[in-house]
Amino acid sequence: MKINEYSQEEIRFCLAQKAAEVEPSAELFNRIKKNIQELECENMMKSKIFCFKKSKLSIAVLTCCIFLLGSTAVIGATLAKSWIGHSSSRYVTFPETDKIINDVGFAPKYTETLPGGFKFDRGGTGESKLVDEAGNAVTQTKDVRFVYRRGTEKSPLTLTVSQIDEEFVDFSSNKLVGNHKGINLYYYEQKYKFVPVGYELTEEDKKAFEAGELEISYGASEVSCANVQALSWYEEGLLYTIMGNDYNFTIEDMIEMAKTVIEAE
Amino acid sequence: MQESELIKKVQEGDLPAFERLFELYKSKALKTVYLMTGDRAISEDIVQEAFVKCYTSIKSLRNPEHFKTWFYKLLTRTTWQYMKKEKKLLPTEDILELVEANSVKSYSDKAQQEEAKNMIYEELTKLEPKLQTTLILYYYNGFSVKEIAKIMGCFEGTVKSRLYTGRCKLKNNLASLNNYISEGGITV
Repeated sequence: MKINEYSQEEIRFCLAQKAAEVEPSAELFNRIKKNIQELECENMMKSKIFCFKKSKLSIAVLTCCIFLLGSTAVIGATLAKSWIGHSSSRYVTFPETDKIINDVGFAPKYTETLPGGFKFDRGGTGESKLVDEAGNAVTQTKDVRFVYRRGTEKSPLTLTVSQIDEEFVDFSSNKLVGNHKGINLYYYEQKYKFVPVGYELTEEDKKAFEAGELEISYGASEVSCANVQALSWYEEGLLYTIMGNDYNFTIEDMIEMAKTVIEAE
Repeated sequence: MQESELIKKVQEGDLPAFERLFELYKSKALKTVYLMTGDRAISEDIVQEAFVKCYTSIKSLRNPEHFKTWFYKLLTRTTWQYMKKEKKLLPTEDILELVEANSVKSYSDKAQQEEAKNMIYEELTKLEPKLQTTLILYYYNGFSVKEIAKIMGCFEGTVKSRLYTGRCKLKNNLASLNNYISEGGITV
């Protein structure tokens, strides 16, 4: 056979024969899903940072991380690998219930003020989902967030309400500290270190982390630390979390806040 | 489920639907990229990147009926970008080296035919990327001239011209190689 005497059919055959040398690997789709998941996380972080840069509240980036960590802290870590989602700031004035129902589809209990001198400052909604190791959504939630401030203090206090099935709520890392009107109240306190992506942990960080004394959160624009306190409860399909950082609340302080919300109309 | 319905679901963020779509396209996509790169590992990386881009940008696809050409446009561009970035040149075995390698072997008829077909592929990989891609999309994937024009973002006339030029170059290169081998006393 002369190799210049090829036909178009031979080109087809030759390419088909060469192509038959490869087949997609079994892990290919899992790698793709992992990439997608990472991108979603990255986009989530970017959108939050952008949102806060816009409003010129640098502390809010920190709060945003606290909000996410707080949520994962009470949602079963064994059930899902990651908590991903996005949020937006849309309430600059105290929102009417109808507005919230229209935005998220449920009516949470909430108040304009909270004990301790906190007043509503702004709020927002969000959507989140828990994804398993393979990147599949285990459950999806809608969230509404109310941000409160006290005087000129920079650090905000947040009340986050998430619509989530009870089977995905796990208070095992929280401490039962009270019951109000038949509703159990769970307290959570933890030191956090917020670091940029790619930050290398110090030996001290590693020791504290291994001892359970410190949680590390990646995605912040700069390194900072905070002592996070949260009180959570589950009521009628909604998970409520009041959270603040570096306030040094007593548990009683936080229970009073929770009572106010539970008793709200 | 129709492919267009599947694509609409993927546009809504349905990951299981995306997996079904991936199953439909994965093999041909990988093999197409492999023909363009000649490297298994790189081909998987490129296909991985292309499917991630597919998932994250599929909302921009207005008509699900056009998914196939849209996806292959994304796939070929991802391949070109990757190769350019990594500076991984397509396999370009030197003709003389090929002849030398051939000269020390004796062939049965079947082996000769196999070798000739390998040479067709080897010569195809030496063509410039756009000619090579056009030939692969036409002869391996079976796309029409119109579809290739959409994939490559050019006129149908350009595709026809590239097919003609590609075939001529392939033929000339193979003829040169054949003459060289013949002069060296080797009959392929």
